[in-house]
Amino acid sequence: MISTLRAGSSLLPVAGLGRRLNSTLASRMKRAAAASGSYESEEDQRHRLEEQVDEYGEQFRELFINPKRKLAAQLQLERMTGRTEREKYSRADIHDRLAVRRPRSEEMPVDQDWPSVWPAAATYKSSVVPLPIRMGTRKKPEKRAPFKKVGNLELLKIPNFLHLTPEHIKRHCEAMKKFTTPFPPELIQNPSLAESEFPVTVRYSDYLHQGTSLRDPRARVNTIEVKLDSFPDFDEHAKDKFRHLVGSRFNEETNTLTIVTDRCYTRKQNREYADFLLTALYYEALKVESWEELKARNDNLKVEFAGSKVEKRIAELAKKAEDVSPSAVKEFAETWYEYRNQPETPELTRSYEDSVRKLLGISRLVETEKPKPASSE
Amino acid sequence: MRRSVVCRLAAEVASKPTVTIPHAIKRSPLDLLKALNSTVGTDKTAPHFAFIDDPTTIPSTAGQKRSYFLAKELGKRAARQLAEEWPTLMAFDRDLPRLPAFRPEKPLDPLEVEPTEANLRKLVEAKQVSAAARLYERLQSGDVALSADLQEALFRLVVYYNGQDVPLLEIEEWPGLRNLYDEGATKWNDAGLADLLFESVEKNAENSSTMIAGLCKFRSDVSVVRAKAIYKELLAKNLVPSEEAFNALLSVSAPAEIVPLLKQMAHSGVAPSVRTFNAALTAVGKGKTPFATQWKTIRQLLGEMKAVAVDPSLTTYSIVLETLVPAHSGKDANQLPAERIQLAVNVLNEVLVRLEMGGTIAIVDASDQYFFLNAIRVAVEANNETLVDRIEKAYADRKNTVALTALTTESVFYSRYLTYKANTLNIDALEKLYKELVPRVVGSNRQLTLKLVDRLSKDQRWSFTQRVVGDSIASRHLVDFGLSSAVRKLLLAQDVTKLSDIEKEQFQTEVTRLVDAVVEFANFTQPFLKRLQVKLNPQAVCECALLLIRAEQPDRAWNLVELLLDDKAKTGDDAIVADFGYAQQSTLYELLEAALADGDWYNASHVVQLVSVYQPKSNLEPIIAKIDSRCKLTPIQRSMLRNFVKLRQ
Repeated sequence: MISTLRAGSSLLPVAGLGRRLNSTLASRMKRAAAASGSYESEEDQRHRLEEQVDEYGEQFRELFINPKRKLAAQLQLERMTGRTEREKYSRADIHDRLAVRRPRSEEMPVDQDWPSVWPAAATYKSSVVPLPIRMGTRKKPEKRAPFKKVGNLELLKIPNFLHLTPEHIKRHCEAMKKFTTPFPPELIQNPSLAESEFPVTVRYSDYLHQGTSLRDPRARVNTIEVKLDSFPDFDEHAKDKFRHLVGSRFNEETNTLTIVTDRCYTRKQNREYADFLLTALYYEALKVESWEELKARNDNLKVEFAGSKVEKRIAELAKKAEDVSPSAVKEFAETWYEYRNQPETPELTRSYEDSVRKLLGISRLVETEKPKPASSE
Repeated sequence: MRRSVVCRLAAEVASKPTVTIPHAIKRSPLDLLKALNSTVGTDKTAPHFAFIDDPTTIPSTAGQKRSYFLAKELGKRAARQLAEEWPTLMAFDRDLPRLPAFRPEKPLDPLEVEPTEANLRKLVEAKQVSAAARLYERLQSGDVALSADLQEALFRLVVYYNGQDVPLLEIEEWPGLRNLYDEGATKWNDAGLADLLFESVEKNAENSSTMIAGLCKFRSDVSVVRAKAIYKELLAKNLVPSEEAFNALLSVSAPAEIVPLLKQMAHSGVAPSVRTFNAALTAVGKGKTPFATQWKTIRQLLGEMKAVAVDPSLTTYSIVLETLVPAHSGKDANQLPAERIQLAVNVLNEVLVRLEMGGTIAIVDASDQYFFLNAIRVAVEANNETLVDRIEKAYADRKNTVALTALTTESVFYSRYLTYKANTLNIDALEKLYKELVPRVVGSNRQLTLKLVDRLSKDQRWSFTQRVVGDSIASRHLVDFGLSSAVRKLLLAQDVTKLSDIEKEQFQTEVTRLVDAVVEFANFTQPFLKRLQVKLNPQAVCECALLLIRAEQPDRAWNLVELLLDDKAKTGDDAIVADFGYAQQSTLYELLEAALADGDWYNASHVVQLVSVYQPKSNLEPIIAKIDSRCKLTPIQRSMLRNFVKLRQ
């Protein structure tokens, strides 16, 4: 028969311990104590009681409805729920299990040199970072804290900035200082010089990654920005033609042209292509072609007041009503231009209404002090 | 062609410089990386960079380091081999610029390729020595005439490598094989291809010198005689041997032949280099010349070096130190006269002063690293702490570019350093040093562990003890009888009452881990796992039980003790306790005290029985009296105890 040696958290099979110890001095003394009544273990008491007989001389027999042993499924359930210790057997990988060291973060002195420990970008390693970091979501974080760092996949997914602590950056800056030149003092004094002196802005990105190829298709993209004001020799015609030529690449609000080139194979080719486009646009804008005379009012980018039906009607009106002043007409023309060439807003509509009323001299029936806010309309 | 607008705008800005833009500072492509590198120091808790930085993969001993490193490298080699066999399957054409490593080519097979001069040249250029030799044989049998320059190139290659393939030692790509495998010295292949080629090439000074160098490099008794004969022939023909030939001859000469050779060098006008003197100094140390003569010759040679303005290299110092205090002297080390050690210390001191005062320590030969090994050996043998510290400082200094090979010589150097410092440093400094070096540079080893157990048993420091115990368990020390016992002694020596609550918990964890491992080792009773079994011995059981009692697990402890009284646990195929050995009286008495402290007569009587078995000569009467006085015994129990004693004494 095999009994078990309860070894702390482990149960290891040990040949014949316990029941066969009857011959030891201790067990003999135990029996002697039990006989004298001064000592009786629980097990012995049970044995003694079992031997008791009733008035018919019959032994008391326990009724077993369930089998006296536990079924395999029951045992497994108990093990899974932690009510029973899992049996541990000696396994052949013992040396590998024993070779596992304690995480080295436990031994790190508090004044250690962190930039030397984590010099470059790396995936999170729980055994190296001596911080009690937790990450992940739990339904009720006030009851159960998020998962701790060991074996936490969430911490591996996110980019960490353990290689870019203030100390890292300070040291990197110090080390690279010797390669840097002073910033132009004129630009510090007058930052607006940057726009006038360096009108063309070129943007591109370098991509560095661990892999076998140095190339990245995104690195070839060039974005060139230039303000329309940077061409001092442009007259109204040139500006208008330039706007027509660049189409949707022009931002009205910032008055900036943006050219993105990425169709050539290298960045240099794309840059040269962008330069070529810019040059071509410039010289084309300056040219006046014979067919440009054919340009009609409809070809304008903006709806002009001059030559519009409204202008004619106001002229007719001005003839009929003599009190229409040219300044009022001019003011109306400006409001009309804005109203026609900007996205429609309640404010713009109202200002247009006001200018019409002013021009025609129609006062409001009830003078409202303040126009209602746009949302209530 | 019209000017680009950007150029025009740029020219406009340049023509009226309102903003001064300074010129960029010139730098090489590596300068920035070097600058960033200078911001990174040594991570004293990290393993060597070749290993995966994870608790499961950080090796603790030199053996583990070796096998992990080689496993990685051999895996890479296997992958290369597969890629060579099936190149199209492994095609990976995304690399830019093209990397030859992704397109491995099988070396030419000398038995299959066309026997032409061009193919032979390819093999010679690729240093495929044995393949080149085979193809040459095929060419010879086909009577293909070879050009003189190819024949000479083949001759040089074959002589340099003794007709064998390039040794692992020279293959840069495989550092593991290069440093961790020793192929052993080979002897000159007599009447081989080299000799055949020597007959066919012109016997000018260069070819003869090459032959002499080859014969001496792969020395055997015959080859040395031949080398000397060729040397004499050269001299007879009034040809001048090269410096390498002289160096090779010096390295195989007897001490008496050094001076004539050097004289001949001077006579022939061949300028000696530091390697010449190193070869001569090596020759001085050989043979059984009296030490006084050796020392005199060494001084003469060093004087000569000074006279001809040849700077000694670290190898020079290393050879001198090795001659003064020979390595592997083992037990003889104690027999070396004190004056000789004193002389070595003086020499070492002078060398160190030179190194400390001088500039960058540059590498001349691969053997330069051995200077540090020899230096620290001499300093340790002389028991000179200042010198030991100075040597370590000189090695770790930024101006030193001579690096010891990681995992091999560096580990030996720091092991010597740490083992020595373990005797001298105070416990705090020693803990810091130990944690910085183990297992990063030095693997946990027997000598060091025993020394630290000795120190820590006297001067307790739990954080240090815990680390030493952890390192020992990770280094398979539990399967070693002596070390396992030392680790248990170290834990027993720890005064648990002085530990804080957290430390006490750590102590309990360590003890449980250790006892679990010991019991698990004992339980490998299945026939196919028997080789792993380490049976429990009485002393180990008693010590483990004591540890468990201190770790507040008395039930488990007494269960372990009961094993010693169980015959079935000791006999048969399933035995887990060794049927021999004994438990020390002091350990048993401690167990008894532990039982009596709880008034536990049951376990105390177990101890009485164990004392009677393992210490049959000891007097049981006082023990009985103690049990009687401190436990509540019934009269029958009392008489049973007395009878037990009477029966045995």
